[in-house]
Amino acid sequence: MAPDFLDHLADVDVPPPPPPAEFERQLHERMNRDLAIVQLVELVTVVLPAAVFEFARALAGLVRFSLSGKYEMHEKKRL
Amino acid sequence: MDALEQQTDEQLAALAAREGSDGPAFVALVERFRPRVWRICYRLMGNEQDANDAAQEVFVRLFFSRAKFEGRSKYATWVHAIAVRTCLTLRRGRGRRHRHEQPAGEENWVESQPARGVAAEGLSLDLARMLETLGEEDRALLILKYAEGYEYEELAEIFGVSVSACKMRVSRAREKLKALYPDETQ
Repeated sequence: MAPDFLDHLADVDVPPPPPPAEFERQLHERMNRDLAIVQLVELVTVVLPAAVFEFARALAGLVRFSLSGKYEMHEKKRL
Repeated sequence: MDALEQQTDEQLAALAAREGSDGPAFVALVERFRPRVWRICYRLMGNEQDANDAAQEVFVRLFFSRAKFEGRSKYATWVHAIAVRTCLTLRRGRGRRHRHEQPAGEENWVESQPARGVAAEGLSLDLARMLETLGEEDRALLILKYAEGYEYEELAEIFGVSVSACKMRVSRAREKLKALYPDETQ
């Protein structure tokens, strides 16, 4: 039986992978770069907005309490 | 390190998921899967430079999703699926860039593929050109099936389809090639 035309795909030799040390060095460089990007994005989109929000809340509370002269206590309702 | 080498893939993956960074378990995983991932990347990307780039991208993605393995398939299959998806994404991006850079009316991207390295490193030019006429997933299916000898069951898990759908796609891709290249496929 004649071989299938697609069987010739297996005839192609795959070269050996690059040396482990070189591959790991490049991989770590890439991972460090990607980790830095992920952390920077997280800082800008999550951490900084949260920090600004908390700061603004504290500032608003300060102004409100200063004007009213009363410090609002949020006590939990006891059942 | 010897202790890590004796762990199964799944045990090693669980250890890597608990590591805060790329600790010894993840390094052991990279070392264990590097040859296989390299083969997949080389087969799908077609040249050493792109394969190396893709293999590194695979391990970066593996690092970021190392805690997401749910054990629904073998860990090796899961890693192979990441490798295939990464290569498909990179090839699609490459195709888009190429189409974007190429002025309208010139030779189309498919026709220019073998000259850009797909066939340059061993694969017969005709077969490479024929495969480029298929969609990316169909091309990958045929390569993994015929060049790497994957079973339909494993291919189905990698591509997230049923075994019968997988057989159907391979069959249709073969028929498409036979229809397009009746002389070369005899």
